[in-house]
Amino acid sequence: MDRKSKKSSVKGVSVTFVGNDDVMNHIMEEVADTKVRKSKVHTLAPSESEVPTPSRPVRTSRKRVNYTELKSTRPERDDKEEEEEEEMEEDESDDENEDDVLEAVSEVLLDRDGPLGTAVYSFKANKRSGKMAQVAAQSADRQQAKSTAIKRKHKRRIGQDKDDSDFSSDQSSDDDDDFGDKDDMNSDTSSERSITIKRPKRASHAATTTKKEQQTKRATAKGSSASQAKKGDGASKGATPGGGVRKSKRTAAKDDVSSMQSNMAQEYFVAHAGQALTSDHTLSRLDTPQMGSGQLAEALESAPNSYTKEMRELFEEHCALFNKWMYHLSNDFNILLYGLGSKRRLLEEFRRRQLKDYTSIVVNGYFPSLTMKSILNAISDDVIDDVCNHRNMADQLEFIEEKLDEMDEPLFILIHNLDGSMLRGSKVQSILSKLAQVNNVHILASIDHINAPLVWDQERSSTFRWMWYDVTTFDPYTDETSYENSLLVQQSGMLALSSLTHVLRSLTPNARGIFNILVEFQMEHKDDGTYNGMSFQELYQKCREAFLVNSDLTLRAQLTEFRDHKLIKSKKSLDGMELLSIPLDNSTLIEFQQQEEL
Amino acid sequence: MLEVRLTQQKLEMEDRESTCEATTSVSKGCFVFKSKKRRKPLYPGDYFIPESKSETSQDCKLRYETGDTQWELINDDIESLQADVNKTLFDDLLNFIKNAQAGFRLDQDLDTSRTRSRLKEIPTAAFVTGVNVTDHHDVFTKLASVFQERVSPHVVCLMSRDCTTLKGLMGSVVSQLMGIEYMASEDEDTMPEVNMKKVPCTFPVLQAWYKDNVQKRKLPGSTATFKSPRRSRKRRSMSGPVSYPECPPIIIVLEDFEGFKAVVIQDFIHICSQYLEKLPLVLTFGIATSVTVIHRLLPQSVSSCLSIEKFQAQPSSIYLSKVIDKVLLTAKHPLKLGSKVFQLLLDLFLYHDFSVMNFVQGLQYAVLDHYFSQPLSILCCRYGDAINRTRNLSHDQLELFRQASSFRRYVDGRPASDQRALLLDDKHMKKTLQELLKQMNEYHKAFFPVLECLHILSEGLPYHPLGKQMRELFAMATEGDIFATEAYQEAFKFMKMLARDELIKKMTMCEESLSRCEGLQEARFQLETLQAKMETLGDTCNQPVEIDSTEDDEEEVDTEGSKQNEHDTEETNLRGRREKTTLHSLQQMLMSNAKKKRRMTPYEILRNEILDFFDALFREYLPCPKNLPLHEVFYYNNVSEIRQRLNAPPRAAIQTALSNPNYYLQNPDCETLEEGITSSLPDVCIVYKLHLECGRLINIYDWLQAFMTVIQGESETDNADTAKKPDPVLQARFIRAVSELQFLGFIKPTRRKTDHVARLTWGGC
Repeated sequence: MDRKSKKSSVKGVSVTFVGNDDVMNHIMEEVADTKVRKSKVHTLAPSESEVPTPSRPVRTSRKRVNYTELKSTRPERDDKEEEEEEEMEEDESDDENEDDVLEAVSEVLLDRDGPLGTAVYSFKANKRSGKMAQVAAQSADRQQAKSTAIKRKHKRRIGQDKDDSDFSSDQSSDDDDDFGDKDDMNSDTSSERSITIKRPKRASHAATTTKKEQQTKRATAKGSSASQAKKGDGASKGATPGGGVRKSKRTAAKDDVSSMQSNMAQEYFVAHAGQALTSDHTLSRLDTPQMGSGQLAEALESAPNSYTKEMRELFEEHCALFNKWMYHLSNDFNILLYGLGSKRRLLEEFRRRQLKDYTSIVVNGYFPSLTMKSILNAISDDVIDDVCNHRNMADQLEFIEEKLDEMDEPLFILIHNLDGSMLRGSKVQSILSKLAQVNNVHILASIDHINAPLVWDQERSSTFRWMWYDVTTFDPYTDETSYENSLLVQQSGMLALSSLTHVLRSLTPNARGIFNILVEFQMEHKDDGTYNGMSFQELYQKCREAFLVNSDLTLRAQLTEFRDHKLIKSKKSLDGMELLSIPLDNSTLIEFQQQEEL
Repeated sequence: MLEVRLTQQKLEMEDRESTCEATTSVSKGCFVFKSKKRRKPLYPGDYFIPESKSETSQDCKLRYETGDTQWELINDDIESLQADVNKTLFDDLLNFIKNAQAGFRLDQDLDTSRTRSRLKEIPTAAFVTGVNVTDHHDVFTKLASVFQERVSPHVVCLMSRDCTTLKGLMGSVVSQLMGIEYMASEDEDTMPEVNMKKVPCTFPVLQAWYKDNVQKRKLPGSTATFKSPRRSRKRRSMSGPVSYPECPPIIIVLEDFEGFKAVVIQDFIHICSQYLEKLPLVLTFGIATSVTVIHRLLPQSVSSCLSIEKFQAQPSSIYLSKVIDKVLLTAKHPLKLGSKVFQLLLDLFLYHDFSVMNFVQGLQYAVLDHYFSQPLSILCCRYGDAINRTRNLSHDQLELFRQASSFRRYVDGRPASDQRALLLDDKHMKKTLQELLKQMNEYHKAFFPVLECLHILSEGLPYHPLGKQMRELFAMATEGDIFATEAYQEAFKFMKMLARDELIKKMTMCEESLSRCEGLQEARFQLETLQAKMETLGDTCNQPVEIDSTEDDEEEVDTEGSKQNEHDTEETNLRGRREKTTLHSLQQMLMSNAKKKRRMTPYEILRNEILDFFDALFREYLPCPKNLPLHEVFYYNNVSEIRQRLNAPPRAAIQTALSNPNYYLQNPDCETLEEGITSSLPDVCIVYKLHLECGRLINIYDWLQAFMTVIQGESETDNADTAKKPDPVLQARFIRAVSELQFLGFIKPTRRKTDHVARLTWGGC
């Protein structure tokens, strides 16, 4: 799988993590022997079913029950692909073993069914600015080509092949620096040169994404005949890099395996040294740069979803685990759910089906103003029915512990997003872990952030006694992302704006005037990158001119009020002047101004 | 009846609709659903629900109960080990603490205080516990209870997280000390209730309390019983009244010394040293790293107040091997871990955390899951019980046994008539089951002593072909037939070079372990005869056996035993040096020596005989359990299950779902081509794949355009109109996908450039 991706690797390095021993062996090896080498330490337990890993990992069986023998239900297409692969690889068979040696890192810790580490954690590679548009265009192109291919009753397979070669040739014809990219991962001699050459080219690329778009437009304008010609072109061109260059690359790899690691480091620094180059387009080019939440929901209502059946099946499959979860919970383990897709519905379903007769608490970890105190209060006030004042959370926790022990009743805590922004703090997590240790408290939680496990240190994660479950649902994170802070640009400021207008409405006209002066000043300087804020003196001057204040004391009092409502921020400049600014982005301010004018 | 069900269904339907609504709110993050009736704690047995028709709920219950008792047995074993493992260390610590403040007297007896040598430094035990932090809390609670039982009732355990300030630290010291009230049995009622919150947390208070306490204890006739008002759920109740010395020391244990703030701990030690004359204080630091941390945290002025003695705990790996030896490498517990599961748990221990607690947790999971998901495990209990249970097996359950792959293999190997009987006749099947169980039982009984023999023999061989530890050997033996492995051959090659006294030693050890099993008495007897033979060999054993007496003397001299030979060559060497023999001639001589046929000494012959005996023994008793019929009953081998539960890759799962959704959805439509993006993928996958093509910053506008290109195809994005006025549905889909990516932590908003987001991950594959 890796091999294949490496072959058609479009950009960057695909790094395989290799044990030291393997690297040593690899260097020492003069004749590539055909056996897959395994390091002694790690291969005490190789994977059970010695099924050759499919070109892409496919989850073995959806309805797999424990102890039923593992059957790999690979779609038929895989076989075809394999055939293809074999055909393609015949000439490279000697090089392959080389790769096998590199990739033969098998550990019992490694899930052979699942993805390998290389697929998940990779190093940063050089990126060009227009890449995204290009790939998108290619995919669209491919789809078109596919449809035409089908129309012409070509075999789909062949069409794909051609497309693939088209894909790589397109790049090579498009710009040669891509090849530089490919090369400098292997041959360090050429890398420096290619980098220096690349720079100016890149800059030009960056400036002209539009050019690329035009290019693609042109390509489509020419119609299918043009693309056909292009394909032929690509095939002839693509043959060179496909066979010759790649092969030479391989042999190069053979020679400089040792220099590869130093190169990797070099790559890293190259990737981080350059400025990020992106086009200067902004969303203001769109007619509707922002969508309100209502608008959004409305639009999404009509959005098609092509995988409802599969998602439902997944959901049902997860629901079948409920009984097992209860069993784990009753054995004092806690359940942690991970995987792509909102797990809210699943947990709610669990609560509905299994916890009907039990006391349960649902905590929305994604809720932006959730506090640990509120969770503890929910337990002590509502579950224990004992309202008493606690000095601090430690006391309260002790109290809860005692009372729950006395009650001897199970209490379920369902936490959506244990990694939510308000629950990430180590203090909160330590309280939660203490809570998890209390008798009769059972926790089911879900995590979504890719770095979520980092919130626990070793000690904490072992006190939680997690049982991990992969419950990928592909459900949209509707509720989780509904709050202001998680919705991106399109929505940001909506809430801030409404709160701003609310606050301002309650102020005196003079105070509003002061604020407007600040807004105007900030808008005047919106393009000034060095703008830090309006100095107090300047504001005072302007306010006096507008007859808004009569002394700097009144102005200060007014500013304090603003500050209390978090409408403005103040900071000291280098020369000790007080600088005032409004912590909102420009588009929100523009909107605010428009509102004011009405 | 029908109506009731209908209304119930209706209710359920309504319920389903409102499942998510009930917990969605813009003003609340916490929702309580309180049950009306009181419920008992969860009972795991309730969740043993038969998955297929072949089992009745009765059988499930039985299975659960067996599992429960088996785990109890294992757990008891582990717990008793825990007490033993640190016994010597605890004794040392106890002695240190007993003696540290032995001469302490209260101030009033002025005479005695003058006579005793005054302590200037606080006696401190530096308890180096090792890196397995997760196990420490258990060790310290154990330690505290030992202290309370045997030295002093006044023990304080402090964790760094409770002691961020000096006030907090003092607070927990005072409350923990004074919370333990001295209850004289007579005047229980007169004891005033102390409100802990109102007591100022200072040392003078402690001093007064201590004085009071000691005086009270002096009262004649009062039987000293201490009651701990704090929760003692997990602590065992103390066994009756304990007699303490007159002035029991106050022991303050800092569990995680590294975690404390330097300022807090310094101040605390300063204050302690001031009160050393009035209070018999003893400190104990729990240190996970090394003793130097004391000097890093404390300046010289502070550390000079302490007289530190170091106590080193055993590394956790020793503890682990004890656990493994006692629990897994024995026939006592019927449940065994399959080689891969065992290897996984071991690797988690060795490569991740060194935590025995986590290992035990994994073991517990394996046991629970075995009984939960393997219906055959109903027979995984004590041998006698298992035999009884076979009698009560129903036809359906027998079918389950027939379906087991190992049993099918067994049936295939039987004669045809027997096959038919096995598959159709339940009675015959039960008989065979009993037979097989008996075989299995005998196999296990013999397996471990014989395995130990192999371990004894292979121990100390160069390069450790069969591992250094018994557990490695166990993993190899359960993986496949050990005698078929290369390592085994290699080990025997090395064994053929064993010296005599070494071999004798190993033989006696082997004999010992063989004598533990009844079924191996014959083998033991054979070994004994071999041993006797060895003893009779005498000194001449290193002389080569004379096969031909016609050989001339000269050769005999040359082909003498190794010792003689060595001596010889030395002599020739010496002679050679004297006669200035060239290097060449020496080489010639050595080569000719080597060419000569070495003849075996009687010892060597006997050694081969012994090793042949062992080889036969191993071949007989150490076949791989995987090849035995009914191994499914006893071996838990579901490694992927346990790996997913204990060592899950959350990030990999997310990224697989994003880059290869077909892995989960299993729909040919979303089959991804290499590096390609198709419009049929879920939105978030498209957006994810597009973002992989970008560097550190992503232009949202371009992103949106690319997204629309993918969805709509190029033709529609041609005109500038759609670029400006995107389909609102498409835009909304894009927004949703982007905010989901943000939620997952792949991107975050940035202010470095307008309408850009920053990428948080590397790479693009």
